[in-house]
Amino acid sequence: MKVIEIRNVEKIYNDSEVKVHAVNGVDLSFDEGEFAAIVGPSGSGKTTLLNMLGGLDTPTKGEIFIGGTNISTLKGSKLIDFRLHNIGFVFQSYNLIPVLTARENTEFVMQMQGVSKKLRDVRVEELLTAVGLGDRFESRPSRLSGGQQQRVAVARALASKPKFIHADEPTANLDSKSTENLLDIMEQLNREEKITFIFSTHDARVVKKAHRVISLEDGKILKDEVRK
Amino acid sequence: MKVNYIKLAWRNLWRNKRRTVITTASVLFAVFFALFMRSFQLGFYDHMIKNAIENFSGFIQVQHEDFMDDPSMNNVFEYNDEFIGKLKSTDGIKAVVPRVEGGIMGSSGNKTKVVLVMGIDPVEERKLSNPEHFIVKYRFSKEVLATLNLNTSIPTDVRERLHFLENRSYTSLGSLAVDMDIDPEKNSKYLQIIGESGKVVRYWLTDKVIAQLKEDPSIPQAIKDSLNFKRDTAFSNLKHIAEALHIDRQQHKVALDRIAELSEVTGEALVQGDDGVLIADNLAKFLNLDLGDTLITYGYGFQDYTAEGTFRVKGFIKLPNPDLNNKLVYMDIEKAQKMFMLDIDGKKRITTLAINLDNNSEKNLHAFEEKIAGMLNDSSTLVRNWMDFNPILQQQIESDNKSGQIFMGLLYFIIFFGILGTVMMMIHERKREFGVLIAVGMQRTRIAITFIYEMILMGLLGVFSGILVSLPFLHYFHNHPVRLRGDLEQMMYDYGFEPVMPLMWIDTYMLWQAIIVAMMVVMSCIYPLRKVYKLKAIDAIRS
Repeated sequence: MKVIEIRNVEKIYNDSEVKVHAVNGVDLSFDEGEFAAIVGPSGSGKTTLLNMLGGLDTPTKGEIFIGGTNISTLKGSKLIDFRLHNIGFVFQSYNLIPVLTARENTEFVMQMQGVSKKLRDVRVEELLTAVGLGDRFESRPSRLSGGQQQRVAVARALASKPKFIHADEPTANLDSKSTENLLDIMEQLNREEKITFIFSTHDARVVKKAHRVISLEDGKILKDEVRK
Repeated sequence: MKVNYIKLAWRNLWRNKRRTVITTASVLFAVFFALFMRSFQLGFYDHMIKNAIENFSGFIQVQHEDFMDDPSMNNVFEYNDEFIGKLKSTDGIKAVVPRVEGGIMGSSGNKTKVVLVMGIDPVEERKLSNPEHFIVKYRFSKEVLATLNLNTSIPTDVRERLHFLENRSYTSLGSLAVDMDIDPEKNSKYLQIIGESGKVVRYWLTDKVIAQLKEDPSIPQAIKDSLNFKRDTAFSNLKHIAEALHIDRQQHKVALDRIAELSEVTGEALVQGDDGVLIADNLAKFLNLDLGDTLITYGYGFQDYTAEGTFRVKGFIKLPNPDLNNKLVYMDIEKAQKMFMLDIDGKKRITTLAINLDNNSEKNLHAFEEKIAGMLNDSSTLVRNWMDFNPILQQQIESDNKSGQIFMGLLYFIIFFGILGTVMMMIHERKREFGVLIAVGMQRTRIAITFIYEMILMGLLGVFSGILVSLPFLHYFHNHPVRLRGDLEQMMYDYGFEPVMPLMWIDTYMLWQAIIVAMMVVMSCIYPLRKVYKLKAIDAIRS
């Protein structure tokens, strides 16, 4: 079942008088439960493509469908609301809310969705335990290591039961042990929760774990390799 | 959406403790100074209104319609028991006091001055101006103070403060201690000595006193015979009595002491039907009147009849309003009616019906003004409030109030920019965080609400700390008003007020400070929040 469909998407930046084709006529689709990585050199357009998939940026041309909804036409609060219910985010710099504990950070998105306290508690416990932070529920981000913070970020991204997880360079700030650990957790959750993960990455370890690798160059798909 | 935004805002507030403390402190000081200043202002207005209105004219007066423009004895109205009875039984009315107020020439010896006669019902008047409360008990001339200065039983530090009393009059030892700025409890012994020296006392040989002395076996017959020639005479001291009676002070000490004991007067309140008058302290000094002396009045009365009378001085009064202290004479209302010929045809006419209310707010004042106007049964009378019959005071208060408000506005303006700077800084520092929140699905409105909560919490923290810090000061200066000295003191006297600056204690003005600061805080969020609304998540995350 197709979760994401990208049709002839282009993104042109008008920097000064020079037009830059960051993404140039990309057609792609992702099925439910995929564990995919978008790779390519700097400036290849991988982050731009991922940001458009996550509804953070709008395409200059083309359409993006997520769960059947054309997000290219959504704007303002509707787009924010769409992201709340359909997309989970894992950022390179974790970006947790510093004044909230691991538990509160994880349940924050669910609170905004209006999920009941009872269901939230169950889900938070399930996720934080799954990411190996069962004993750090009440710790604030400043008390957690980088790897632990990124695991909380993964739990937060999954908490809302999104259609896919947008993960932009999630391992860039982590050491190898933490990276291995995080990737294992994400792979396991991908398997168990059947949620699509799409990474934008330079990291070979992520590429190694990915089930599908899409290589971009100059805003075009160079290669789309499915491994499993 | 069930996110606890207040909790989130509170925690955000303490992310940067130093900044929060500094911003809160700036609000705290602004509130502290604003409250202090406002409290001084309002306390002073209250003081002025109390002196001039509540304790003298009353908040509302019923007058003849022309009395305000022409306060002569031709613009009077008939005292009406039924109407006054109705007013007295109306809820919310504290006092209804009939008066005869009129100007007349007052004379003693070769001194003459226009005086303001106020004919009062001594019992009813206790509810309004209460002259008894202002009867002078002590007076201090240079000579009295020079003698006291030589009294070594009084400690030097107390004697050094005696000069504050020069040419002043006091109604109690307490007010004397205030002027000397000494503790009345610690110095009670010395205050007694000082009070005894400055005591207002006279020896008045009234008919009653002479009759008592004639019955007294300790008084020699020769002295009893001499007393007949000194009937109704007042003396300042025993030496003068001895001289007047042609007796030797040492030889007739017992008789003199007995005369002193029976004839001593120290200033008494008026009673109903009293023949005497209470005279304002400064006026008495100007006319050289002492206790028992005679004040002669002469002028125009009702329908331009001649008004005249002679009145014995029963006491001096020191009023908080120095203007009145220079001209007021209290007498019994019946005597005033008789002097001004207001009872010429057996009717009891008055010039004023002064009314005080339980609640003196402007709203209540106007409500009662209308209510009383509806009860009037004499078409020549009307109801006026204090702002009508004392417009100068009203204007003074209004103009001072405006300048105070401008100063406070400036103070808040400065603080506003301080807060605005903090808000801008906070928004700038948290741009990325806001971007992430928008990305994960938090609506911009919710971010704005959380941010406004943060600012309101910070503002309220500052406001309440400011109020809390100012309370002990306000309480102290409310109970111990600053007493002005020197030029300021003179200026206050010139304006007609007692030279003290009391602070107003807790009142609605505190709530207003809180509201103003809260509004200021919300206003300071407007520009920064526009930035939040225009924030692009992707740009913010990249920043």
